Amino acid sequence: MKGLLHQTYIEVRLQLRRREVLVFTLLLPVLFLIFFGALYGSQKQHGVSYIDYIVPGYAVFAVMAVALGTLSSNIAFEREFKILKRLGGTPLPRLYLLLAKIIAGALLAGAVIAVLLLFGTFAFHAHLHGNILGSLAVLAVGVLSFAAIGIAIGGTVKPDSAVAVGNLIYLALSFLGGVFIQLDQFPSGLLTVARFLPSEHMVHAMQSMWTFGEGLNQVGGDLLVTAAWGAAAVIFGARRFRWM
Amino acid sequence: MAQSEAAVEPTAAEASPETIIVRDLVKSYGSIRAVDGVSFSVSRGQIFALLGPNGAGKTTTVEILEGYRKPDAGTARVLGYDPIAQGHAMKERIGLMLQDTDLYGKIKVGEAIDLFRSFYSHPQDAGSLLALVGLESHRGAFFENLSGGQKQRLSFALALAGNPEVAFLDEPTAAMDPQMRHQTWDIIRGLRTQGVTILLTTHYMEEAQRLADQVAIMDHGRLLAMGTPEDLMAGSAHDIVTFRAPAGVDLRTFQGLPSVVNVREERPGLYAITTTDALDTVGALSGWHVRTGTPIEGLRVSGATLEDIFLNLTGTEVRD
Repeated sequence: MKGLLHQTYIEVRLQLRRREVLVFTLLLPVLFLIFFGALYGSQKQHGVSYIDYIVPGYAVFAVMAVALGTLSSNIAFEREFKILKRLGGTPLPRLYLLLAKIIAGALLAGAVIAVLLLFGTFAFHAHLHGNILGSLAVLAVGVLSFAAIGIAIGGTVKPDSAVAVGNLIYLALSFLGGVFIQLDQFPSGLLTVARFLPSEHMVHAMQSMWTFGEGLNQVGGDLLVTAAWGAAAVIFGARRFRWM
Repeated sequence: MAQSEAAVEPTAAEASPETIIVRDLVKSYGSIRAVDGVSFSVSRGQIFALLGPNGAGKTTTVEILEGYRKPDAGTARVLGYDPIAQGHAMKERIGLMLQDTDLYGKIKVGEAIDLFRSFYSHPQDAGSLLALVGLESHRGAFFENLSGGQKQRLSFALALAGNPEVAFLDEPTAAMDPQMRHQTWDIIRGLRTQGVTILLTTHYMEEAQRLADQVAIMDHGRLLAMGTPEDLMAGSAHDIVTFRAPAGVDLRTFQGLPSVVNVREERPGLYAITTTDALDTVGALSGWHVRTGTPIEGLRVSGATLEDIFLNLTGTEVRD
C-alpha cells in the first residue's frame, strides 16, 4: 500500500515536470476553452449557450488526453527503456504499478477539469448543472475505460509508434465523439460510426448531466457502452500486454 | 497482491545452506538454446560469478532466477522460493541490478531511492544507501543528468534498497571507471561479510578472479568449468614464459625447445612461450642463449590466468 501511494506520488510529480505533458495534455483543453469560448461561447443553440456544451466536452477531452494519450506513450516508453521491467523486479505488484498510473492520471485530469469549470463559469458565464457525486462517477468510468485503452496500446504497440498511435486515437475519438463539433452537424454515415464510440457516449453523458441537468439514471446506457470498451481493452491487454 | 499471500512459504527447507539452486535448467528462444542444461548452487554468503562472452546465456539464467522468465525445463530456487509461483514473496528478500539501468529521466536520485524503499517492508536507510555508492551530493540531481557510471551506482543502490538476502547483479561494473569498479568490489565484499549471497555476471576476468568465491565459465548455454578461481587456474597444466630478445628471431627456434606448446611474438622483441614444463623449457632456453650469444632480458615465468583458462575453454576472445 505504501508502495502504491509512493508510486502514485512519483507518477504525478514526473508528469508535472515534463513540459510536453504540461503543454499538450494539461494546458491544451484550457486553451481550447478560452479560444472557442471567446469565439462562440455566447451563441445559443436550442436555447442553450454554446459554452454549456463545450465545458463538459472538454472535460472528456482532458480525460482522454491524460488517460489515453499520455498514459499510452508513457507505458510504451517505460517498456522500451526497461523501467517497467525494473519495477517488476520489486515487491510492488504489477497491478499496483498500473493502478498508480491510473490514479495519477485521474488526479491530473481532475485538476484540468477544475480549471475548465472555473474558467467556464467565471470567464464565460456557463450555467452548468449536475451533482458532484454523479459527475465524479461518470468521470471515473471514463478515466478507467480510457486508461484501459491507453494501457492496452502502450503495452502492445511498438514503442516508437506508440506516441503516434495513442495521440491519433485520442484525437480521432475527440473529433468523432463531438468534443469540437456538435454531433447534429455530422453527416449521417459518420454519425452512425460515432454512436459506437466511447468518446461520443462520454460527451453525451457529461452534457446530459452538466448542460441539461439530468441525473445519473439517465446516462446508464452511455456508461455501459464506455465501460464495454474499457472491458474489451482489459481483456485484450491481459492477453497481449508486454512488460519488457 | 492478495492472491500470492497464501503461497509465501518457501517450498524447500529454509535451513538449506544453499540460497540459490539451479538444476538442469533449459530455456530456448525459437531454435536457439540460450540455457542448455545448467546446474549449480550458491551457498549463503558466497559470491558466485557467471563468466562468459555475450550471448553465453548468463543473463537468461539470472532472469529465470529473478522470476522474469519461465524455464522450459529444470528447477530454479532462490531462498527456497519458486521464482515464478512465489515471486512476490521472493522479491521482498532479493535485490537486483539489470544490465539496463535506465529510470525515469525526470526522477531525482533521492526520490528514486525513497520510491524503491517504499516497496519493501524492511528498507535500508536512504542516507546510508546514498553514502554507500557515493551519490550523497547528487540527491537532488535528475536521473537524466547522471553519467553512465553514476546511473549504474544508483542502480546498485536500488538493488540494496530492501536489505536483500540475495543480490543478483548483471554486469554491475560495466559502465564504471576503474576506481569506482574497485570501490564497488569493496561494497560487494562488504555485503558478503553481512551474509548476503551474491550472484553476478561479468565478462571482466579480473572481476571474477578478485571477487568471486566460485566462478562458473559459461558459453553457448552450458557451464564449461566451475570452481574457485584458484582451482580453475591450478587445473591448467600450462605456464607462460615471457622474455625480451632481438626482434624477428625465427619462432621455430623456440618451438623446437622441450615441452613447448605454443610460441608467440606478442610484439617485436617480446616473446611468450606456453609450456607444460617451465623448468625444462627455461633450461634449454638458457643453453641457447649461451650457445648463440643472443641477449635475453626480462625473463619471467607465470602461471596461466583465468583469462587463459577462459580462452582455452571457450576458444574465443570475450565477445563484447
